[in-house]
Amino acid sequence: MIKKLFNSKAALPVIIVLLIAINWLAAVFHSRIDFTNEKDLRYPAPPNLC
Amino acid sequence: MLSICKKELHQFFSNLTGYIAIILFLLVNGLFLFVLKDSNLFDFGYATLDKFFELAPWILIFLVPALTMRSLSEETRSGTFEILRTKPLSCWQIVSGKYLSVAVVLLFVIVPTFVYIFTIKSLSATGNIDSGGIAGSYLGLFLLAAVFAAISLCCSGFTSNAVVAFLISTFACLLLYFGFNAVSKLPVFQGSTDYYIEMLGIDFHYRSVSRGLLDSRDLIYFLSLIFLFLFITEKKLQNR
Repeated sequence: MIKKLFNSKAALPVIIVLLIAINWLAAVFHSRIDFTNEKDLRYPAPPNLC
Repeated sequence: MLSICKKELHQFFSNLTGYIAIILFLLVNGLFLFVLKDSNLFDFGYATLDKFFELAPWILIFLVPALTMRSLSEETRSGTFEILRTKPLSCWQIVSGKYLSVAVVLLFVIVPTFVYIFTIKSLSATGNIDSGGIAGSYLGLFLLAAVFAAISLCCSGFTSNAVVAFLISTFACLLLYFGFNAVSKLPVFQGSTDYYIEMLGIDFHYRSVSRGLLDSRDLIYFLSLIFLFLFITEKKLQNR
């Protein structure tokens, strides 16, 4: 049935609607992984040459 | 699918195409990040690769269409696509094989920039870098490049002229990357739908991943775009 749907002329609009629906569902039920962590990222002070 | 991928990879690396892509990407990035005055990492003062992740999409907008412009257009122009269709391969296998090869080349393009992580680490005062954030940003960059590859492959399937394919795909990548963001800034949409319009663009999701936050919404958005453009390409090839 899926193969038939994919080969039909209406496949593209159906796929677009399906993708919009998936994205909408993803927006409702979402989770995130936080990779960041707070660290001191400054460069060292330049040496005083005078 | 794998045989198509191997053939395409062999084509990329048997001549200078693949190597030039890698060298150009590194050269332009290196120039902007370490040589040119305004975008220099040394003057930035913080040991982050944010500048690189801001710059890289703009280079990829031109680099990815240049890599993929011949993938399908050349097959049509030289008539080898008909020969390819006589093989026991479906259109989807041809498209996904070609797409996979471009994705592998893009991986080879991005991986050498890992050197920048060590550069930044040695510049840092305490030797600290936000390694998790950088890992997230690299994932975002690869997903962005993968979307650009899908768009460019799709555009390549619509014409038999490689230059036209390059121009169309560059414009399409630019439009999807920056277009929605630019439209959302129009005064008409300010304070009402601007956020939702911005959400349609790649830039919004790329910035979200680049912060080091891997959100399922961004991941699904990128995968959806890749699937959509590959599906359109497959349909186009089927109707030929």
